[in-house]
Amino acid sequence: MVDFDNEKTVTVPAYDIIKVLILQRRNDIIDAIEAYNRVSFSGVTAPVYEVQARIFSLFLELGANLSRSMKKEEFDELEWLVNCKDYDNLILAFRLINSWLDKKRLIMLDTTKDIDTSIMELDNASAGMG
Amino acid sequence: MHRREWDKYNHGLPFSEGLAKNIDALKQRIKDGKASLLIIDGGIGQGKSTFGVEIGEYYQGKEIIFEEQLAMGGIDFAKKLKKCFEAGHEIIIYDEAGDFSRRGALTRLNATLNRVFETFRVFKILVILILPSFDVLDSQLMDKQIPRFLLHCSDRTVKAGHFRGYSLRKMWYLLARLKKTTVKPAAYKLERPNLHGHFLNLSKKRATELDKFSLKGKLDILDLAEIRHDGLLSLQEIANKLNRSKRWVQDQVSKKNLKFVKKYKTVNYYGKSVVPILMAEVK
Repeated sequence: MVDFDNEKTVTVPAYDIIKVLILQRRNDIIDAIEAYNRVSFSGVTAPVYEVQARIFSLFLELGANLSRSMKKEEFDELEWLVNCKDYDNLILAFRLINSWLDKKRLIMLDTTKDIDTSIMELDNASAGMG
Repeated sequence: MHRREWDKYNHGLPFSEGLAKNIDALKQRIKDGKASLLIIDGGIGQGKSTFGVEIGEYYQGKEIIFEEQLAMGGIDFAKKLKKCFEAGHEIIIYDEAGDFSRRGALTRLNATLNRVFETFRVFKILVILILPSFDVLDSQLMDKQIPRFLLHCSDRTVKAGHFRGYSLRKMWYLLARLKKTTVKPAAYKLERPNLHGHFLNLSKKRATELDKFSLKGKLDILDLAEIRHDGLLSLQEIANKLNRSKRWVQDQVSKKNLKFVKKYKTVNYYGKSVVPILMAEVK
């Protein structure tokens, strides 16, 4: 995709833009959960519609990918959870989506292999000198 | 009060436990038929020989026979390596013992090591190389990935010695630092080691045996250095200079009744004046 506004001919693949959009939606959900908790923890009954709306949006965004990579019963269960108006079920749905994102390496941080470098042969092997 | 002599830690080893795991890994590597060299370096009196013997004894699970497994200098190393294989020893220690001060010693050592690891790999012998600084080694050895790790000894106290362990990967970085740094020993402190550790002194009896043996090796080197200083030549060296066989030189020497100046072990050494005398006989 060419960014004409910046008058640059360097393009960003659509794939990367979608990844950013997904992460943005996930971040929005976390913000909504935080807002819900802020009210809820103060002792006031908080409305859950914001959390539900945002989780549902992310679910729609990922829908095609999820239905392709999940088993049918798992996907159906997730769809049911996303449509719930119950906070606990929505959190469960969010957790399931999160673990899927982690599996797809979108939110995975620990991507480097842990090597015990005190065993010097392992350290050598890690540099292709095994 | 009598101070107890410590030659082993509570875990039963004379050095840090972490090192034992590394030596075990090296043993497995040699079992798999891969050439392996362990380097110990450090300044004079840092306990390199002591440490080398301790590692060797841990590796083979019994005491090292100094006369067969500890080579003092390059020539001794080449001789003992073959003997070690014939006797079925699992390790050989090469202790530089001042050998590097001899001209050409380093070239010879590098050539020997290169040759050794091309042919002796299959014999599954671990070579422990003890020298002042590992950067004197030929880069070919590093390219062939033969040195597996380096143990740098420093800051030895009366009770114990200290070491830093660098894997082959780290040795490359260390080598680059050694080339750039003016104060060479400081380079070791700039590169983070894979492990730190300590080692204890050998038992009094064993330390005396080692001292006695290494002193003998060092005296041999001193004697040879004296011969070189006096400009004396062996029959083989004369033959090399004249481009003739040793046998031819031997015949000429006895024909002309030339006397040797010094006899060291079984070798006769002649004065430089012998060369022009024999040169006249060369047709």
